[in-house]
Order: sequence, then C-alpha cells, then structure tokens
Amino acid sequence: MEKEIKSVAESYCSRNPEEERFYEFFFKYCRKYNINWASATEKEKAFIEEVTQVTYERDRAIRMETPLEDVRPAFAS
Amino acid sequence: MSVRFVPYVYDSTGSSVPITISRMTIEDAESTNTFPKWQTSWTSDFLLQDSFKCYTVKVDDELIALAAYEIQDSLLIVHIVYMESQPQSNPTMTDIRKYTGIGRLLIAYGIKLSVDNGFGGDVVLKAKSSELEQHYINDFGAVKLPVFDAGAPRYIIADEAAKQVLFSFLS
Repeated sequence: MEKEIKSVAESYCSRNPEEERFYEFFFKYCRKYNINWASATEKEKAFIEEVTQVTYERDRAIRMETPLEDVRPAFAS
Repeated sequence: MSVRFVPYVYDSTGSSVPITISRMTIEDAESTNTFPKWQTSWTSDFLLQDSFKCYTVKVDDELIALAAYEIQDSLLIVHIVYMESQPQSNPTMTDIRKYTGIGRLLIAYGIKLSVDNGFGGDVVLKAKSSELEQHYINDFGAVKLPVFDAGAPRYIIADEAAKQVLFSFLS
C-alpha cells in the first residue's frame, strides 16, 4: 500500500514529453483562435481538439521521420 | 476599494483559522519523514525538480499542507502538480480532520500564482481518480481538457470558476 501511494505521488510529478508537446499545441491553438476552453461551445471544443490532434500527429511524423502522407487530414469524414 | 488575499482554513469546530504560505525549505521537506509521517516524502527527487515551486501552509508554526506548482510560461498557465495535507488533516489517512478547506486554499493559491505570473488566473491540474474528477468539477468548476493517449485526465480552472475560487479568499 505504501509503495502504491508513493507511485501515485510520483505519477503526478512525472512528465511525458509527448504529452507536454500535445498540450503546447492545444493551448497555442486556443490562443490563436481566441477560444476560452472553459466557456467554449461543443463545436469549438471539437474544432480545437481536431486541430490539436492533427497538428501533433504531423509534428510527431516530422520528428520521427515517418511519412507525412500517413497523417490523416483534419476534419475528414 | 482594494482587496487583499487573506488565506485561511477551517478547524474542527468550523471556525476559520488564518494561515501563512511560504516557500518550502529543506527542513519543511524533511519534517514529512518524521512522526507522524506524511503520505509522501517531500524530500523525494521527483518533488524537488527545478521546475517545481513548492510552498508550505502553516498555522502558526504547524505545517499543515504542502503543494508543488509549475509555472508554464509557454502555455500561460500554472500547473498545480501535487498537493498534500498533514496526516491529521488528510482525508485518506484520517476520518476526523484537524483542518479542512486545504484543497480549496491550495487551488486558490495556484490561481493567485497564475495572476502573479501574468496568466490571468488559469490553472491546470490532473485527476487520477473519478472521485477526484467529480470533486474538481462540482466544487471548483473545473473543465476537462482533451485527453492525450492514455494519460491522466487534465482539468482547467479558469475564467469565472477561477474567479469564484479566488474570491473566497479576497477581502
């Protein structure tokens, strides 16, 4: 139990670089599109989520040198 | 009219008790390793990262809580990394808490740090249990952020919600 509790505290403090990069894009696009997340409509939230996800996937593909063609286009049906 | 941040917690009778907030010292951190031992050792490496700013909450000289904050300039938010109450006030360690209102206070202080750093009061924190998620949503007006992969859900407290939390401590 003590070890489990310690790992919970440590998990709050740990940083996943990919996760941090994802949220950098998220907050950047909230600012860019002047959207306050806390009061955003569902459509605005879905828009920001999609822009963030696709941008993050494209950024990751560039960094990992995987084909950009494999990154799905945004808002695709 | 001017307003000041006047922090407090509640004692077991429900009366408000003034507290002081200051930067954690190594002595403060080491005290979490002595009886009664805290849930977490605050001398742990993962809490002493350079990017974390740790603060103490004290009633007179009694250490009642610790919190780690991260000033994220690129995101324009303060990340409330980790908060912990003394064993006598920790709801996971005792049924009868010596002091209450500690969580709200530490979140309010995070909001104040956000204002101090020019971010307008926006704070983000993670919730690793559904109980904690509901607590943040219902009691602080937290809004869930998009989830990355299988990471722990993150919540933002901003705008009107942040104002309401901070107002609790302005007079």
